[in-house]
Amino acid sequence: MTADPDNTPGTSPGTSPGTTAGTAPAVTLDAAALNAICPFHLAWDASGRVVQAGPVLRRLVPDVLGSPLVDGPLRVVKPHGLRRFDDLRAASASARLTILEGRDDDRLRLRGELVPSADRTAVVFFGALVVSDLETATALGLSLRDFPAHDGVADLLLMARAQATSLGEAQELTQRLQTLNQELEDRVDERTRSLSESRDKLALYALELEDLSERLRAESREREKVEEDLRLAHRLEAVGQLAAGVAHEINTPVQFVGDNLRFLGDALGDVERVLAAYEGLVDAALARPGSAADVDGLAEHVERLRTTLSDAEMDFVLEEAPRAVRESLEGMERVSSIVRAMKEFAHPDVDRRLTDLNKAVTTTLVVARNEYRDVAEVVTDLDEDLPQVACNPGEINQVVLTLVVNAAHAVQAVVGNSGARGTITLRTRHLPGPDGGQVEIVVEDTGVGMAPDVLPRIFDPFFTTKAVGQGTGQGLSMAHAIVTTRHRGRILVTSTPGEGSSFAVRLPVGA
Amino acid sequence: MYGLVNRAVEDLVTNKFGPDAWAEVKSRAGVDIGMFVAMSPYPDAVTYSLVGAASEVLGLPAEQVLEAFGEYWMQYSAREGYGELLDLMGNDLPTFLAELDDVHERLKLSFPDLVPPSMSVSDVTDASLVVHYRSDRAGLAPFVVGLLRAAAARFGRTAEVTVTRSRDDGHDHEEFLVRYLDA
Repeated sequence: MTADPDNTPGTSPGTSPGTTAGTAPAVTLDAAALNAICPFHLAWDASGRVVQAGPVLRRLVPDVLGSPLVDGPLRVVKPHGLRRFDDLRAASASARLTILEGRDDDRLRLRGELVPSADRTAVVFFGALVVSDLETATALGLSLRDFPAHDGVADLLLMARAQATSLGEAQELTQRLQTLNQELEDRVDERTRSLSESRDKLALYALELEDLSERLRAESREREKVEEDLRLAHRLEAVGQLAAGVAHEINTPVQFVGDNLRFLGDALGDVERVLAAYEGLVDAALARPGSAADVDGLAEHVERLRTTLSDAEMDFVLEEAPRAVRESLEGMERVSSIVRAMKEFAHPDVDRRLTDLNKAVTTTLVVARNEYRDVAEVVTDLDEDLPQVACNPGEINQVVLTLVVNAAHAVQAVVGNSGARGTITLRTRHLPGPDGGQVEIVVEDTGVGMAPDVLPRIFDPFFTTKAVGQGTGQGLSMAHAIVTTRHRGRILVTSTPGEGSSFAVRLPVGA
Repeated sequence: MYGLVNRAVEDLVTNKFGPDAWAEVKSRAGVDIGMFVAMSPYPDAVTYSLVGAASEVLGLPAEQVLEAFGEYWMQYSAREGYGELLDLMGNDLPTFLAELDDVHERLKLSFPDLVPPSMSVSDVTDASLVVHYRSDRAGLAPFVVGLLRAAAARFGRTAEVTVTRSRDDGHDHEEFLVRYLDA
C-alpha cells in the first residue's frame, strides 16, 4: 500500500510532518515506519476485508487480517451504517471521527480517522487504542512500548493513575482531617464537661471551704478560750500548789504578831496594876497625913507601888513594848505583802499592759519563797532602768514562778537534807534593739543541771524528769508557749550536768 | 522531591524500626511536617536531612540507608498505586530500565516539578547489562544500586550491582554493572 502524498497533509501516512501547503513531500514512510508510529492502524481493500494492520492491533486481535467489514472481530460503530467498501470510502471523504470496537471484547475501542489510499483502492484507519486506566491496559496485555512516544494515551493512563493516587491521598487526608476534627471536638467536649464539672466542684468546694472556715474560726475561738482557761487554771493550780508554803509564810508573822500582842496585853495589865498602886499612893498623899498612922499608911502605899513596879518588870515592858509593836507592824506588813503578791499573781488578767518585770520577779519570789527558802539563797540583780514591757503580767509571773520552782527543785536535788544551800540568781536587763529592744529575765541555779539529750525535749508537753507526783511536764511547755507564741519572745537554755542551769527569757519590749 | 519519596522514607523507617524511631529521625532532621503529601513537591534538602538523620538514629552508614531505600522504593511505589505502571514497563530488566525515561517524561504531566534522572542501558547480555545513570543530584549512587537490585528481583532475577564509573572519579555520569547471579 502506498500513501497518497496529496491527501490530507499532516495525517496521511505518506507525508512528512514537515510538509507545507503547495510543496511536495520530502519523505515517504515505509511499512516498518508506519507500524512504528501507528501500531494500531488497519486498512480495508475494495472487497471490504482487512488487508493490513499494525503490529499491536494484530497482537490484540489475532484474526483481524482478512476479516470482513461486517461481522468481523472489529466493527465500525461510527460513522453508522458502513457495510461496504464504498461506504468506507465515502465516509473517509466526509466524516472525521471513526470508532472501531471489538466484537467480543468491549475493552477494545479504537479512535481515529479514515483515509483513502493514494490509488483509492483501499481505505486506511489511522487511530489509537482508547484506554483510560492502567488496569485495562495491563489486562489487554499491553506495555508502554506498545504506545508510540507521541501517543497521548499513555500520558492519559499515567495521569489517570496519578489522579487516582491523588484522589486516594485526598480522601486519606480528608479522613485524617475528619478524625482529627472529631478528636478535637471530643476533646473540647470532654474539656468543657471537665471544666463544667470542675466549676461545679469548685463551687461546692468553695461552700464547703466557707463552712469549714467558719467551723475552724469557731473552733479557733473555742480553742483560744480553752487555752486561756487552761493557762489560768494552770496558774491557779501553781498558786494552789504553793498554798501550803504561802500559808506557812503567813503563819510565821501572824504567830509572832500574836505573841507580841499577848505580851503587850500582859504588859498592859501590869501597867494597870502599877497605875492602881500609884493612884493609891497619890490618894494617900492628898489626904494630908497628920498622924503617925497616916504616915505609916503612906509608906505602905509607897512600898506597894515599889513592889508592884518590881513585879511588873516595868523596865522590861517599857523596853520591849515598842519592839513588840514594831515587830508586829512589820509582821502585818509581811502578811499584807504576801496577800498582795498572791492577788497580783493569781489575778485572772487577760489583757496586756505595760508591766514592770522587776516587780514580776519580786512578786514571784515572795509567792515561791517557801519552795527555795530552805535549800537556796536567792540573789537578785535587777536592772533599775528596765523598761516596762507590754505583756500579760499574770502569764509572765507564771513563767518566772515555773523557772524559780524548777531551780529550787534542781538545787534541792543536789543539797537534799544536808543543810547545805545552793544559789538561785535572778537577773533582769535591757537588751537594746529595734522597737525598744528586749528585756531579759535570767533564772540561774546551781542545781543538778541537765544532760544534753534532755535539753531538746524540755519544752515538750508532758515531758518531765521529776519523780512521779512532783511534776506534770506542763510547766516548761506552758512557759514556752506563753513566751514564744503569746509574746513573740524566746527562751534560751544552757545547762551543765552537775553545775546547774540557766534559763533566759527574752521578751520584746513592744510585745 | 515529591512527597511520595519522603513518604517512602517514612514508611521504610516506621516499618523496620517503629514509629518512635521515625519521630526521632524527623526531630533530628529538624523536619516539622506532620504528613507528607505525595503529590506535593518538597525541597531536596528535606529528603537529604531525613536520610542523614535516619543514618544517625539507626546507627547505619548513609550509603547503607540509601541502598535500602533504593530497594524499598520499588516495592513502595508499586504498592502506592504505580504497580500497573511498572507492569506496563516491560517484561524484562533491560526493557524496564529503557522505559524509565519515557515514564518519567510522561509523569511530568502529573508531576510538573519532577526533576527525574536519566537512565539508559547498554551491553545487554544474558549474564549482565550496563546501566548509565545521569542525575542533577549528587550522592545517590547507593540508592541506584538498591533500585537496580530490586528491579532485577521484580523479574525474578538475583543481581549483583557494582558502581563501575562515578562522577566522584571524574566521569560525567555514573555507570553500574548489573550482573545476574542466577545466570
